[in-house]
Amino acid sequence: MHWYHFALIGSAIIAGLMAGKTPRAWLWIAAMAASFAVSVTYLYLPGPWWLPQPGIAMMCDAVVFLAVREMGRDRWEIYGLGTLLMISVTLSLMQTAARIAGFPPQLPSEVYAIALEIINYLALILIGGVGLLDRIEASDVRLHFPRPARSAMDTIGNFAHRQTNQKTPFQNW
Amino acid sequence: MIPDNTPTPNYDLIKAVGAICGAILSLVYDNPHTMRELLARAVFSSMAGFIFAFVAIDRFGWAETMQHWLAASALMGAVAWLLAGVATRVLRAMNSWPPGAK
Repeated sequence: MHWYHFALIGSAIIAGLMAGKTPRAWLWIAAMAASFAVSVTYLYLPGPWWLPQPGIAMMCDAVVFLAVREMGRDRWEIYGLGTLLMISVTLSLMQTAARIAGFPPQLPSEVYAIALEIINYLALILIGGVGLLDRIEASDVRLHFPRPARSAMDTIGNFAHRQTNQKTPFQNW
Repeated sequence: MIPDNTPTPNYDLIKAVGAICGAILSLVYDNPHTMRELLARAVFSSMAGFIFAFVAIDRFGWAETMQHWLAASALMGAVAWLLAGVATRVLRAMNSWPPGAK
């Protein structure tokens, strides 16, 4: 393992601690960590495999995305986390197509890896930020903030936690 | 001459994996709303990807390598539902032609 793997794991733990009171936050962190672990393990497995590594990353992110869409309720999950995961799936899809079919042009491995890391960090910032807002809302700390800041936090918190009421297959048998 | 002991790749397995990947991709990009739709699309896309992978291989002139079979089945699995929808609409339009006729 490299230092950037440890950095990502540390960030995930910090985001999880911040989002301890937010429903399903730990679930998404665990799902993304599992997806990351599977794709990185596959990358370092010995021997050439017939499924390219971006394909594995794509399928792992796709499964997490489907889980978010099925089990997520709030806007921050469906629109925030879901959008980031879909960007990640699309990036991996393009990289897989480039590896196999030669189109679109293949990104350098470093650029592709950095782009995925940025998406992962953005997802962790989103989860940690919503968790921090929830913690502040639930405690007396919010009284120490000036009124405009409290108002802004209320607006953002209400927007993030508004239900999407989307129809999903497992709720519509 | 040294005998080639390389195991023959299982192309059916590769096509099945590719077709399932393609079906999952199509579910990601176009949300199903009911369980019936989810099952219908998953089964249809997987089968179509498995069966029609050769179309993509022929159409794009790819060499018949494992990765190309995987990509072809995934591609056909991903676009199968879309193509079926287009075909259904075309057939309905043809069935109701000329406009106004019963």
